[in-house]
Amino acid sequence: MIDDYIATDIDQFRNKLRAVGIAVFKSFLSLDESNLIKECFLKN
Amino acid sequence: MFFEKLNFNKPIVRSGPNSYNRHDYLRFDCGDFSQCNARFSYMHALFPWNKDLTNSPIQRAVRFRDKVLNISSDSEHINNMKLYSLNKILFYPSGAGFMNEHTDGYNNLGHPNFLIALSRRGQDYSSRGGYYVNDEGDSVNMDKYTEIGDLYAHIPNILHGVHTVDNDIFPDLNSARGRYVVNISLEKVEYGK
Repeated sequence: MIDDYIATDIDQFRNKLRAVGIAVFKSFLSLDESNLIKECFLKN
Repeated sequence: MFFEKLNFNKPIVRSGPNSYNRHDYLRFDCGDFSQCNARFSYMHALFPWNKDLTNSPIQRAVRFRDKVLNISSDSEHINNMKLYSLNKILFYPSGAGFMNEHTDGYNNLGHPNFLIALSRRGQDYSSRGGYYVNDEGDSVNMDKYTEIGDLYAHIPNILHGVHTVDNDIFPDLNSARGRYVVNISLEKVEYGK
């Protein structure tokens, strides 16, 4: 099911969003970037 | 550096509607207080007029969204539509975090909503989480399929919500376990007092 939503470039992402209503771009942020944001939040 | 610019050490803890020129804040929402949608979550709101996020990973996602939607959020008011980009870090604690089923678009002229997963089901929490309702009326859990760092978006009229994260355990609000997402949303500008 998730395969229907996965896009590999920005045009495909836009098209999936229009056609299916949901679009997914895998690994947009790296694990380090994601963890950095999470750590910033947790400092509060 | 992104981390220093955010100045996370001085959040304003206050609830209520968002308004133009408001300070960034950290908020805890429990139930339906001052919200359209009932929820149990923490939210750190990052307004575009307060910080320079130019080189942050969040801003990269904002630029991606702008390209997808063909808008420009370089200025605070997007394309003169009186919208602004509200970036939020959301935390749904294990054992308690939820958001009721809803559709979007009531406060942003019907633009799609963009999110980035910062947690992984099976690692940061065990069960349930974010879902969409498909055309057949079935609830489809998105968190089963997304990994940390995945960016996803949905159009505003899709029913969605967050089923109570780890609803079979008693919540420990001192624990960092739970579901984390970045929400890059567009909101109408409201001018406060």
